[in-house]
Amino acid sequence: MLPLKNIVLFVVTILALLLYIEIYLRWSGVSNPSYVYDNDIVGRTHNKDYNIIITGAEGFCIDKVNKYGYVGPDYPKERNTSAIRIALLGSSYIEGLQVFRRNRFSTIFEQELTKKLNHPVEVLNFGIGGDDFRGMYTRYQKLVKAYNPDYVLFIIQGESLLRRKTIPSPDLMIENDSLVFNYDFLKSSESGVRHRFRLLREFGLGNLVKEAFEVYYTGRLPKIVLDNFYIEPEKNNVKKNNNDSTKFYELNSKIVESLFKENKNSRFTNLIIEMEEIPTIYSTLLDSINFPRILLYQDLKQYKPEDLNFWRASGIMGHWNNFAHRVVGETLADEISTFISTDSGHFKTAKKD
Amino acid sequence: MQFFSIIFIILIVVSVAIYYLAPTKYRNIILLLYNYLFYSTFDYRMTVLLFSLTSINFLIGNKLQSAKNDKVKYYFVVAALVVNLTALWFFKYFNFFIDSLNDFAVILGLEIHLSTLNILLPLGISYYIFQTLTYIFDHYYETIKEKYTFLEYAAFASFFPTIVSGPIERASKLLPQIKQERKFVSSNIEEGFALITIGMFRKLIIADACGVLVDHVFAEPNYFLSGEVLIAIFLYAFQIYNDFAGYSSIARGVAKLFGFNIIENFKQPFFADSIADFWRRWHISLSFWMRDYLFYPMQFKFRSLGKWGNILAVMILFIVIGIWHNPSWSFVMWGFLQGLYISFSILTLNLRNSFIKSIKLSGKLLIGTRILITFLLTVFALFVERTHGIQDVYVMLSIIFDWSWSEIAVRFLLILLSTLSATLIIDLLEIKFKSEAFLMKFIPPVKYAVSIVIWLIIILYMLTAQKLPFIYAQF
Repeated sequence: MLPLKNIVLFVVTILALLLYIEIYLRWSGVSNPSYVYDNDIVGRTHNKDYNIIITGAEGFCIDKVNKYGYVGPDYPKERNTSAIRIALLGSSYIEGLQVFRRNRFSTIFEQELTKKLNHPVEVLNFGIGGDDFRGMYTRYQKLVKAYNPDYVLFIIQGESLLRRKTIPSPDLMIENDSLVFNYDFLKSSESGVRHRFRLLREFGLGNLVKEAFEVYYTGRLPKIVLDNFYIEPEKNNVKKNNNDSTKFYELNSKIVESLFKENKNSRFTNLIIEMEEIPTIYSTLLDSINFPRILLYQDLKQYKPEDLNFWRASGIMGHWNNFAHRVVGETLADEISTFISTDSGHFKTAKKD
Repeated sequence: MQFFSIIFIILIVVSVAIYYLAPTKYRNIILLLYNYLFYSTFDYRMTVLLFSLTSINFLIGNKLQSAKNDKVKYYFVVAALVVNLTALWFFKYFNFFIDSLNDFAVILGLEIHLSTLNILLPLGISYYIFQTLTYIFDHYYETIKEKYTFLEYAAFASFFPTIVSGPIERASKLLPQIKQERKFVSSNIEEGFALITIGMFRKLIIADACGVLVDHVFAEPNYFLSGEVLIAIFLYAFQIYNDFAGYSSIARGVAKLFGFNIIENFKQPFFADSIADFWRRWHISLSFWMRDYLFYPMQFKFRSLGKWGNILAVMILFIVIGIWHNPSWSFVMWGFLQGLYISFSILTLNLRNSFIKSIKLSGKLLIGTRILITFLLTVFALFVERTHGIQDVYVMLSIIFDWSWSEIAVRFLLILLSTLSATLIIDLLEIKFKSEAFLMKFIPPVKYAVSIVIWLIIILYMLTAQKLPFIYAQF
């Protein structure tokens, strides 16, 4: 065969096979175009109308980002109903992509609360994997408020207050005693890499390439390549950085202060829902200003961690499981219905409407 | 060390290079070294049992070979069976036996609480014991004439490409290959590479894609709806087929790299037009082993019972095959179902033939119908085997018969279609080229293009995705 014919055949086969592989990856759920992207205003966020398929040891979920860019029913920014609107903010536990939407705590919470209040409720889930308290606040200011919620639930764990940022998003700074958004993350090398991969991430295959690059970029390559032969390097005993905790405390307390002011001056009611016991310094702060908080972890104490976090499919501990999503959804509905019933403001107004 | 790890691929390349660079006379020593090193990467303690059984079987086999008297030969076979099956029973079945005894006592209203033992299940024990037993049987039936050294026998008994999940090779086929001089042949490398490529694709890209979904649905079926559960059941059939066929291809490919020909373990089983045909295409090395060393002797023993003797032998055979896989009631039920299918087909052969004649079903339509029925029966049996017991079977069937459909089920359907398409393409290519290593029969530009794209996907997947263990490695 002529060399040119061979080259053409080679190229055509590669292209045809890549096309088949792309369809295969998307249909089989091995790899889809990325359902998250780095938004210049709020950082990591969901891609509107993108398919989601999560298949891992800690969950299996098939879903779709709605046309407004969050996961859940299509509730637009404009409110056309008298329904009580509740926005949720939190990390991957709140995003809830380990279970199907019908089993997710946010869906169960909405159904149960509607039943308990005998009034329509709309729950908008703005949770996203890796978000922390500062990220939640950014999302609240830059995104959630536009949806006019009656209640905003900041669902936190201990690490939400103490963790360094794990996803690209604006950071917060205190300037002249007020909170300022810092967009340095857009200039970071990591962000540059992500932007370079943006087109690739629009393909299932490209997303695999991006993830493989991330393995290399984050230094996980030796562990994956060497498998059982990999020896974990000894970690230096780094002293806990007190500066970090102090800095986080300053920022977090400023956020609490800002949310508290909004509770007084706006139609929103912001609540903090604690999934885990938070450091005493924070509970003292919240109590000192009488910030509305619900200690959900106390209601969940009757369950063992293995009831709530154990995955039967893989036999490992991880995110909440199907059972836990139901428990959390129902428990939260109990707590919030009590809170709303005793709250003099919005619920009564909403009922009148 | 799993076949689908990157380190395995790297080590195989290095190992093959060392193997062929070494003088021919040292190759069996190197092979034996590789066998034990590979096996010890899972758990070095397990090599003690492997070496002990190898030594005992070698001793008994040689005594058997030199024995003149048939009765003495028979006693040696019995001795080998006792040693090997006791080891297998203790390591694999003891706890199942105790649990079943406790359950049975409860049913009878007795109060016995025998405790189980914390036994480490040696990896691949069912495979290597069956493989080493062929050395005894082949001596008994005199299909081996030649004498083999301990080194050759030990290399056979611990042959690393097949030790974890088969194929179960016969001593009469593999030992002569170990004895003979193996030279570097480039076509062996090419064929080995082609087999490994297809095997990896089957395992990582097809089987694992279904596997995570299947695991979740079978673990908590109550959280899924009718259409989703039904599709997950079909997906499991494709998962286990591609998982095991993938493993077998990789094992055959690795063996080929070192110059060995290993029995083909799968021949497009979902194209079988009867259950009997299915067993000539599925896990061939085990079904032929069982046929030759268990079914034929039983059939001979029960010959006086006529057709019912055959049925008895079939039922025992398949229940044993079920238990061989896994000591659990799900596998007993799976084996029982397979036996039932074949017994039914024996008993209704004339009736079915006259029915087919009466409805004038013939040609491709008849074959298609037979293939479809066989496939559905197989899927049902595999579904029973995958559950944790009859309770789960009932729960999942109840969900299916709710006939609820969801938008998500359409996405499940796409997963099934993609799995089906990939499986079908590979199976049809195997049929067209009459080889599992069909890749090497493509014209060069196509061959290189396909290899590049498949390996690109395999490597990306190896780096990024959660890999599931081989299903058959747990047996």
